[in-house]
Amino acid sequence: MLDEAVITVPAELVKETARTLHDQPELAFDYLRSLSAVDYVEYLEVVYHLWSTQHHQKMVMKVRLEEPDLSLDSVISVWRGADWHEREASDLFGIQFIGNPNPRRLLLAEEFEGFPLRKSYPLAPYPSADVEAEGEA
Amino acid sequence: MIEPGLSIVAQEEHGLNTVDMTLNMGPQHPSTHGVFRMILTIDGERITSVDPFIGYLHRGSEKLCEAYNYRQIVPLFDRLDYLSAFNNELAFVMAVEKLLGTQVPERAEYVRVILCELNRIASHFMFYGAYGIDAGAMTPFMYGFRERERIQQLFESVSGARMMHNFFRPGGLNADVPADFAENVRALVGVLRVGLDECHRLLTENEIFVSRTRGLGIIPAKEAINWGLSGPMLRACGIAEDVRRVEPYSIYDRFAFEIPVGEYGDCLDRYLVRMEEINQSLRIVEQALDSFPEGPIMGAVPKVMRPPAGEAYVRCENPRGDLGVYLVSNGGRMPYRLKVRGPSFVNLSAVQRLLLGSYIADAVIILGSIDIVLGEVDR
Repeated sequence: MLDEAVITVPAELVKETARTLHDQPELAFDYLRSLSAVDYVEYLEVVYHLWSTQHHQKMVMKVRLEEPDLSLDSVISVWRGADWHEREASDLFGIQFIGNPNPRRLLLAEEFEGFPLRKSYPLAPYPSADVEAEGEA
Repeated sequence: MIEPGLSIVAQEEHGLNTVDMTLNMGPQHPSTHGVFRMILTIDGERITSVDPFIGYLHRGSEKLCEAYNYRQIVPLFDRLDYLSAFNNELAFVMAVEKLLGTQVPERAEYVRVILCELNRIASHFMFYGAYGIDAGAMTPFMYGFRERERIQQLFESVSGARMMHNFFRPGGLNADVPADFAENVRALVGVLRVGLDECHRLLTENEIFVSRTRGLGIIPAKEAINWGLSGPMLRACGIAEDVRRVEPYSIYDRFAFEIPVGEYGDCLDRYLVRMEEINQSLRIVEQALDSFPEGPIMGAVPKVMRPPAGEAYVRCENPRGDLGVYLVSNGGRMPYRLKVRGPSFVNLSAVQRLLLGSYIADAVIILGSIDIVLGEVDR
């Protein structure tokens, strides 16, 4: 469904790859559209949506992280705007971005426990509010 | 000896012992446009560091989306950027349609574009009013809200609600527009043009306002891209990046409109870009009315939507910039993951850079020029 090129890179190469994608003139992915994290239970995925303002091209860079090592390099030195995206991902998913100058919680309170966007975190008190489900069952 | 934390200039030149001052601004502060807090460190009148705090309005929207079916999510999107609810709904329904592969009927596309452009105008009028207050002028608020009110009355006649419309659906619209819709919109466009002209005469031609905002909060184009700024914030730096043009969605490729850009990337340029966008949006609405088709308003969508497993990333040009929706489906009735990339969120993160080195008296003017909506920043 994704109408754009996708590359998956190992966590230890994320900064280097980001630098290349940003600096190579024929690539020039100078704009970070979005940085998301997704919990696939067996592993976590960090998804970088990129855009080139020069070539008007888009692409996706993905990084897989597995327990217990949920850390990867921050890309702030490449795209400064990644700052709050990274803090959000570490806030809600518990991913550590090494090199982020301000790694405290962003959206949640400092004393909050747990990572609410993980699949293991329940949406209390109701498991689902899906109204269509009632009619089907 | 120079003591750490003390002003070097004061110590070296005058032998004075001065300390940097820490100033807390917000979360309850009228010019933060919601609940936003920042701690400013100031050396005399200059801001030397900015520490922003967000999250006071965090409602866990993204987690909630994982527990609702696709039709139930539309109202959640109304509550992100509540000043441009239609534009938010559009981004979400487009992401679902992309996964489902749904063809949206012509009439629905036209209604969507007309409503979204009117919403952009309403949002920019809101900015106009609020920015006047930030700059110390009360009257623009009345003018901006008067024009916005006219648009909201039209929205009410269409969707039944002034703000949280819940009107777009994956595949089309909730209901057809009233019979006199086209006629009302055409009359409204005429009235808004007069109103816009009055707004320009009140504030754009006001010498005090111009000299108060010129040269403030400058960010160079290269840096703006690196920070991920979008919308009028980026275009004010002279870069003609508009998702409607660089990655056309819906039926935007059919309309002629210009992308206003600024020259200096300062507060006044951001204001001017937004005001010109009102004009361009009016042009789009008029063109859409000229070829407004009859027909169905809903495409073929299954009663229970189960988009095939996969992912879609959709961008829309919101009044505040590039709104991205990243939707991951596992084939179920509810999204597996839904991430919202809010333009306010990213634009506001650059406040750390924009305020640096400016005068404390200019902080409110620079913050106001970002035009944030905290419902979308905090989600």
